[in-house]
Amino acid sequence: MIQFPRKWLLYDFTDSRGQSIVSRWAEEKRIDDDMRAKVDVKLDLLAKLGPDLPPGLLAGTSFRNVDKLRIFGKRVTWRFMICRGPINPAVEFTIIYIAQERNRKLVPKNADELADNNRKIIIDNVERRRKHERLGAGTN
Amino acid sequence: MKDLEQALIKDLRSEDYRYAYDEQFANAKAATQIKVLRESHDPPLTQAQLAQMAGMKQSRISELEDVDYSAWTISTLRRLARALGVRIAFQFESWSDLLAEVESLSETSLRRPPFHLDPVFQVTEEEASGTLPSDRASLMGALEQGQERTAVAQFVGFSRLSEVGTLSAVPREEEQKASWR
Repeated sequence: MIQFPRKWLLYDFTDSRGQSIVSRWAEEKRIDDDMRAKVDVKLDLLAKLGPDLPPGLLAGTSFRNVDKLRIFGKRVTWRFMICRGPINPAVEFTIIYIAQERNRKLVPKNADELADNNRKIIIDNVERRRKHERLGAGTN
Repeated sequence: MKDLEQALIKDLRSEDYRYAYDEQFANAKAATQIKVLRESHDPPLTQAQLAQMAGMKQSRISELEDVDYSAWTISTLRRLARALGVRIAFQFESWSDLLAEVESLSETSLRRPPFHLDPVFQVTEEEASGTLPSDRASLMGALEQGQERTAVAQFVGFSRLSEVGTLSAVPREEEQKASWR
């Protein structure tokens, strides 16, 4: 029997107006196609293979429920803070915060705490997330 | 057509996007395949054991097994290939091949039998006596005629050639395991 890879579902935390934090980040920071592709590959791999197979795809943070995914840009390094679930941890991941990393330190300093707070907001109100949409090539 | 494939067909039209996507995907795939081959080795290898076999330090294997590692050298890949009993291939590919590669990526699709477990090179009593079993004979014949897709289809057990999109198509896992052991 052919074994089909299991698919993970990806969600984005949304701001109070219902906009995905990932699409807002891409708009506000005018993310170019090079960076958009790097984000999409990592998230495609997470959705396709899950967290355990691609080595180093997710790294832990000081918060047990929050992991970070590294995106290396030409000048800026981004950290996508991700949690499993939080509604159905067996099949979902949610992008809950996007931070920068400068000199190996998160900016803002408490990014992992802010990410964990967003995770709790989703647990209280599942409407504060939406299905992740790949960034794709932009129009810049 | 699958959603991801459809999205990529649109997105890869941007030159910057497609080269960045391909580079990151290739890095991640190489790192993942090293880990898969090390762990599916019989017996499974630790990073330290693979490092010793390849004449490297364990910390080097740890560096290479990282989706963000990007400073690959041909000589390092050749040393790893030899330690793992497989070969490394270099070739230019078309962009449409990337779609199939992304679509078929799985732990199973990254496995490769080491030479001593590769069914084509198993020496059997029949071969020793000069007669090849029919399935092996047809496999060898396909390879000799340059029909790699046919040979792969026979190896992994697909009944129809049209099911084999690329050389890294997902095989029947249990059959593949059985054929290596």
